[in-house]
Amino acid sequence: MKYLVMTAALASTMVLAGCSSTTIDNSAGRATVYEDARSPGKVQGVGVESQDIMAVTDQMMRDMLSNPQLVSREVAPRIIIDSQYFTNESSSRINKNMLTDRLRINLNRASNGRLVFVGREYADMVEKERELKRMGVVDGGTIRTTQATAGADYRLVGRIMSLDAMDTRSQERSRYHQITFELVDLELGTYVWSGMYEFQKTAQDDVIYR
Amino acid sequence: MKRTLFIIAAGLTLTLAGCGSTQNGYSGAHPVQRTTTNELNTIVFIDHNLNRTDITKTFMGEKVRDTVKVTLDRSGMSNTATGQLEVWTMIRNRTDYDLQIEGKALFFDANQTPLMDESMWRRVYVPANGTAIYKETSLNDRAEYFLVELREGR
Repeated sequence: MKYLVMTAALASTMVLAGCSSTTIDNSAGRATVYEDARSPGKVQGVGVESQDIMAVTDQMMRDMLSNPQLVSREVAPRIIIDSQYFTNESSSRINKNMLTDRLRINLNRASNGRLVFVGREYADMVEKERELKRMGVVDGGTIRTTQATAGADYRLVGRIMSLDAMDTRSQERSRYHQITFELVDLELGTYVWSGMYEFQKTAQDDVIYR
Repeated sequence: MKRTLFIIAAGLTLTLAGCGSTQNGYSGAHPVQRTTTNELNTIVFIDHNLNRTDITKTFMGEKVRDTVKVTLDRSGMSNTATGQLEVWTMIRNRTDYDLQIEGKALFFDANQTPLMDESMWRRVYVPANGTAIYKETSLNDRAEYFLVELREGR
């Protein structure tokens, strides 16, 4: 009997040793104040937030890059993208440049020369330098001289609009945003590309946007 | 003697049943998807609450438990007129309540090298028992492979 018990115990030990599993540490990392700007953070309201800005500009950029009228031309079109004709008609406080700058910068990087961007916002700066060159105060630089600065083919226009609703009992607030982006042909005045991004958020709006 | 042997056998059986699952080293109920490698040109759920398989080993054999809130009915890839890679998938909500799914695509070139083309999270609203389409395009025509990750919208 002892022999049998010993054999059974030995077999049991061997089986148990075989089935012991290796644990993989999957615990959370150290605490940090940084957050992923692509996802909603700890502080959330009904306004336009970082994840919205990043998502809308990314979608518009990809949409523009897949438009053959814009990117498949033999000569790359010249485009102005700034906030001059991009208006905020919504009840959300937002710096419009965050949208237009992000769109222009990412488009410029991704298009790799298929689109050319005109910096009309800094036209004064360019004119001053050209004047100094023409007057002979400074030399002509190393690149080239041109008769005039670049004229643009298209310009970005758009609007941020919103529709607010509030439940007076629960103080819950709902805001629907509609952000439109369009490229206008600066000779014909026609729209050559249009894109829209919309979202609605509902929350107990005690968040202050600055 | 018979009684002793019976107790040992019963103890061994219980112990074996208790030491349960072997999902690449995980014990307990962890989804199989957690430890599998993501192949390119696939669409994966990184939110395991949406769609997962738990396999637990018991003395009666393997116990498979599927969690299926969302499934992918159809998927595909094509090239746009400008040569960009376009990936799409049809998301089916198998619950009785509305769901929000967020998708993100990563693109790779012909050598499977990352193009550093990672889209932002795109939110897709899938009505209860309904269907919605998630679609994303790459930034340029060098993309040949993709990896799409899906999670529940936050």
